[in-house]
Amino acid sequence: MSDSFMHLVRPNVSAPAAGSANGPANIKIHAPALFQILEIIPKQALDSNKRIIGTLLGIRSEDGLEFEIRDAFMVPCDETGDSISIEDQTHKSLYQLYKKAHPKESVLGWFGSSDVLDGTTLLIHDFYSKGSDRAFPHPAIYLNVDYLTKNNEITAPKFNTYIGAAVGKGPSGVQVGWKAPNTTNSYIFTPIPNQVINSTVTEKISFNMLKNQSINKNAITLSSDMSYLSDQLDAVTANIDNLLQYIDANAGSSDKDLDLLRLLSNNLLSKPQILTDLDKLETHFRDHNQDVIMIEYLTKAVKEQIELSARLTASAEADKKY
Amino acid sequence: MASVIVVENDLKDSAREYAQIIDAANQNKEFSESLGKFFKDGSDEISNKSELIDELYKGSSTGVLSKLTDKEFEPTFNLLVYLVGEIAGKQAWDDSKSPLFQILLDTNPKQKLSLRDRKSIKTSTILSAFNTIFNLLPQTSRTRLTILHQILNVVETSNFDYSIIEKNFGSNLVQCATAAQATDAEVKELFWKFVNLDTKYTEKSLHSIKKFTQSHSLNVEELKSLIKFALSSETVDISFLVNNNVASALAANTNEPLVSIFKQYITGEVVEQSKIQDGLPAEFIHNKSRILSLARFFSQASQSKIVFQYSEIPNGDSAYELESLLVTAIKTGVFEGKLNQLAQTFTLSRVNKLIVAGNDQQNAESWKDAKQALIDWKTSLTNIKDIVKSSRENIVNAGSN
Repeated sequence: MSDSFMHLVRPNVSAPAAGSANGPANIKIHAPALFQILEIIPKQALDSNKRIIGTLLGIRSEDGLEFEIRDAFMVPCDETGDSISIEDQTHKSLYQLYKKAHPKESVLGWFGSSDVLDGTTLLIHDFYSKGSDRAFPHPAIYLNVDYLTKNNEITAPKFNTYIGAAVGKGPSGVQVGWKAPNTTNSYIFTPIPNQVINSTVTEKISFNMLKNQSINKNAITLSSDMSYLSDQLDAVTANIDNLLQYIDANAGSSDKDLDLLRLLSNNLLSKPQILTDLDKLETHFRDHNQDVIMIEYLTKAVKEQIELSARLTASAEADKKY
Repeated sequence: MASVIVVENDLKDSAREYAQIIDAANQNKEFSESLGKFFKDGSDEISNKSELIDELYKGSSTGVLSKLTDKEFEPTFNLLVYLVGEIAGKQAWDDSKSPLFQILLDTNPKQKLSLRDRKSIKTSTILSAFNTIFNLLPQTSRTRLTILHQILNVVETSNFDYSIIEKNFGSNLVQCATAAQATDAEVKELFWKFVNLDTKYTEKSLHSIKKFTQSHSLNVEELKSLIKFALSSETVDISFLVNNNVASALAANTNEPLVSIFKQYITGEVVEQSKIQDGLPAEFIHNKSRILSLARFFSQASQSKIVFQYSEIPNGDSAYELESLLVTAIKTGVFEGKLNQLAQTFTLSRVNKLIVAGNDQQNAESWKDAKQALIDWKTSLTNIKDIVKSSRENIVNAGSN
């Protein structure tokens, strides 16, 4: 939740599969998707502020309250005055290509960068809310990346996410005899809180590895598990050193210090006895390593057996044919 | 940017659309005709704005709007909000006496809806509508305070599930109220009103109380609500609530019986059932205090050893009773360990130390202990690193041979 808005329950939306609002909505943005968006959006600055938009892909929970943005791609569009044309076909083919690799994911909505939400925003949102291969019959979400100041200077990007609450009579509320001047072309863009998440441990490890390597080095060498463990131990020892340094310099009775003391006292004061018994620890560690090697060996053996049997079956089949 | 309304139609069409919705609910054409008078033919000009607003509100009485289904109500109300904003200017929203709020309050269901009832307007829809107006107002608007109060009133009167709004409402309540120019007293009133809605006394609420009291002092009444809330909560170790502000409030009100019970409780002494009054659950609190006294015993004794015979542990009459107490305590997370029923021993692996503000001497000791523990851990880590290093060398050598 940002400081300027509040979000209690998801508003009623016109999408037929949205269900009624019964709780707060939340959007999770996976880090790779975020990088993808950040790579696309600044292209706007290159070509005299031409509007750049794209499609958000990912999964939504069954109750329609949780959204997870997992990937994104750009969709070309052409804006002239008040009207805008979106290359529908490009969106369709890119989405269908993506769908082949990720059958469980679907279109969640769209992203763009704009300092105002206006008629054009509404048109694009409407495009994503209706029609096949888009968010329909679920509500579309809109992610706005705010990275330019009013003077067109680049600042740290801010991510705002919105859902389009219905205004007036939605398509679901159609009653016979109504002379509709226009079917819903109106939305209240209601802000929804969002958070960026690192989805997997592997992602974190690889990110840390990339971070630690200097960009001038031509090759990134992959270290073995053992030296990774040593690196981690070094990192923990360095953290403990920092903590000790802080305690020596600042430990007092302020509320924050007391919280730290409580955290340390509640979690640290007893340690497993094995850590002081070096010989036993070494034996345990060696045994563990042996176990790992054994499992690796067995896995390899089983895998080879399976492959062998597959080949034998295949050649037997081939023999039968001729 | 908070909420933004974007409507494609012009004002006249929007007004006509609204009138049609109301007329459909009333099953006549009266409202369309009465609104039509205000628009001149062929132009968007409005003949009399204030009368049009009055007419809009007159047509949007609770009796009419409550005829709409849950799915229809919110979009219709949003359209009304938009029309009011367009006709009377956006300042019309920024009025704590705006009839819009009354419409919402009157439409809110007075009784819990039956599960079968899928059409009637729900409380969540009313809250969402309040939420929308809140987001349309500027951050500094004092009307936002009125809305916060109204939201709490709606939650209180309609038995709305507190846990749904707990996280999002609680985490920014103070920040929003302060931005809306609320005085310190107003912020406190809002916060305690919000916390007292929690009838389950959750740990989340305890943490928000802790956060709030870190920046706001407490008077006797607030201290009493804090104590009652904390003691009634299922969380056993509530020592984290005692920050510097709470400690000074406790010190200033030592003659209050509730304060002395609380002090006894957080220092790990067993509280007798007969002493607990004020409608608090006596037996429940007594049992909680027994667990905490056990934690105090372990935290004092764990300096020298971590394996305890059943006979060494106070508080239990029989082995069975002690075991069930230990298991309950482990479940509450106050300490962790392993029971050995055959040898009748308990091996402790972690225990909460009851750290409270205002007890400087004990806290200095705890700092010393924590520091020592950190140094021990550091030494152990260095040892582990050596082991890892030697194992790696062994593997490499074995591979090369």
